[in-house]
Amino acid sequence: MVYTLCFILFVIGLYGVTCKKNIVKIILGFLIMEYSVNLFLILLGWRKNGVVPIVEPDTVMEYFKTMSVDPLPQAMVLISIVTGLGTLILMVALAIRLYQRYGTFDITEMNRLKK
Amino acid sequence: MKKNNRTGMSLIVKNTVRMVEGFIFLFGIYLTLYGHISPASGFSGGIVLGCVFILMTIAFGKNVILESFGKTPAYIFNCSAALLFLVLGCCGILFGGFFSNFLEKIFPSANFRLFSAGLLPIYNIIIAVNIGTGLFMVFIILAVRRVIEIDGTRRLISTEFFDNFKEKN
Amino acid sequence: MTEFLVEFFLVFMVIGAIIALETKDLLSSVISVGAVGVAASICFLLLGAPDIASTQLVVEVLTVIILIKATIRHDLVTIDGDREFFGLTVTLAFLFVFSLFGLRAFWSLPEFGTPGIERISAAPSNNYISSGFKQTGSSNILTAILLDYRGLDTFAELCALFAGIWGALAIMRVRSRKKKTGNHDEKK
Repeated sequence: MVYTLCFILFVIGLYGVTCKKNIVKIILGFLIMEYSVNLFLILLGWRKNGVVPIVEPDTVMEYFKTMSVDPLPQAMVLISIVTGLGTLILMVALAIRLYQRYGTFDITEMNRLKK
Repeated sequence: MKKNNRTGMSLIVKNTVRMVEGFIFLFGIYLTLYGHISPASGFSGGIVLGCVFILMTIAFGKNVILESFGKTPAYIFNCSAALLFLVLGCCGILFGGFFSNFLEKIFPSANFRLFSAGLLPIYNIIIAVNIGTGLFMVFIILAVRRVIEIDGTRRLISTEFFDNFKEKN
Repeated sequence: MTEFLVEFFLVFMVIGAIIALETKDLLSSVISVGAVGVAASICFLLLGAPDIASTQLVVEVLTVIILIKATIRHDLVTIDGDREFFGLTVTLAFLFVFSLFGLRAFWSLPEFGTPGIERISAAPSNNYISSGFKQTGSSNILTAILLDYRGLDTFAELCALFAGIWGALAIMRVRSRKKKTGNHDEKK
């Protein structure tokens, strides 16, 4: 059920990327896809009644070994979030350049002006 | 000071930002330094540090920030932090492998302290400097550039010293 | 309890995403995406990842600020209507088939709450959890993985972010109109 909802979020983002005319809406679709993929990787590593993967001075190591959440997808997602910010900045810069060239954010209008 | 009061947002926003900005900066430094013993890391600390400068840019206007800091220190800090990360990683080759934690092997330290875990806090500081300065300079470039229309053609111009230019003429 | 809360926030995210893509006003759609990101941050907090939650929250604020400051102040004209009929039909058919295959694949996943490290004892995460604290001395296992075990990945990530930022600076470059372009044109 949870995985299915996450996949529905991904399909909504894909719809925004493929079917929208406005460039800002396409960027928003990319952002929604990114959230759903990050959330799916975290969901895969969750353990029932799991604890946070941080050792404290009074932690019992035997209990921690069997109950900790999977830390490897979390590290990958932490990297992916920050890289997503860099790609967003690049997309925004490209959108401003396109606006300077064609004077609009509409991509079918751009296609017509190119001919 | 009176000259600066004309640019940027209203007086309430400026006074609030003046009170709050030091605490946010301190929070970013805390997140960076305690990255190896608490739920934080150099990534989130660096973004918070960049957000402080972005907040000041929005509140006081871009000319005040450009006159007091400028963009050149951000360029220098960004490039030198990226280079330092590579050099520290390559230093590990002498002690067994790429990115090996040689400080921990030479000077083993007590756990749950601020100065522990060898090279990891240093890596966190470098990452925070790189990300914070990078976000600040990208934001100031995006805020300065503007598309205007001159004689029927659109141009991307820089409004960096536009206000000074207007005052002189 | 956690499962129910995560489902609730996922439904909230789906509704927010639909509103963000279908509203005519660009400002409200950007703010809706901000709401989706904050809900994702709360989900991370519920699923046992507090450092990712804080990073996601700060990145979300910065995303909304950049989108509003950079794109929306140029053009607030609403663009309605979709693309032309034939392309839209083909795209929607592709989306339908893709979602059918995806749903079939997602039903065959294991039950929620049983990660791979329980079934496979040779997974690298088990090694990180059990001996990461002793080997690196860092009590946050995530920092140990990011900067010690997989330092090369973090280095590649920094390279990607560096390239993205300097690429954006190169795209937004302006030539000074006084001297350089004039001389350049005269030489030609």
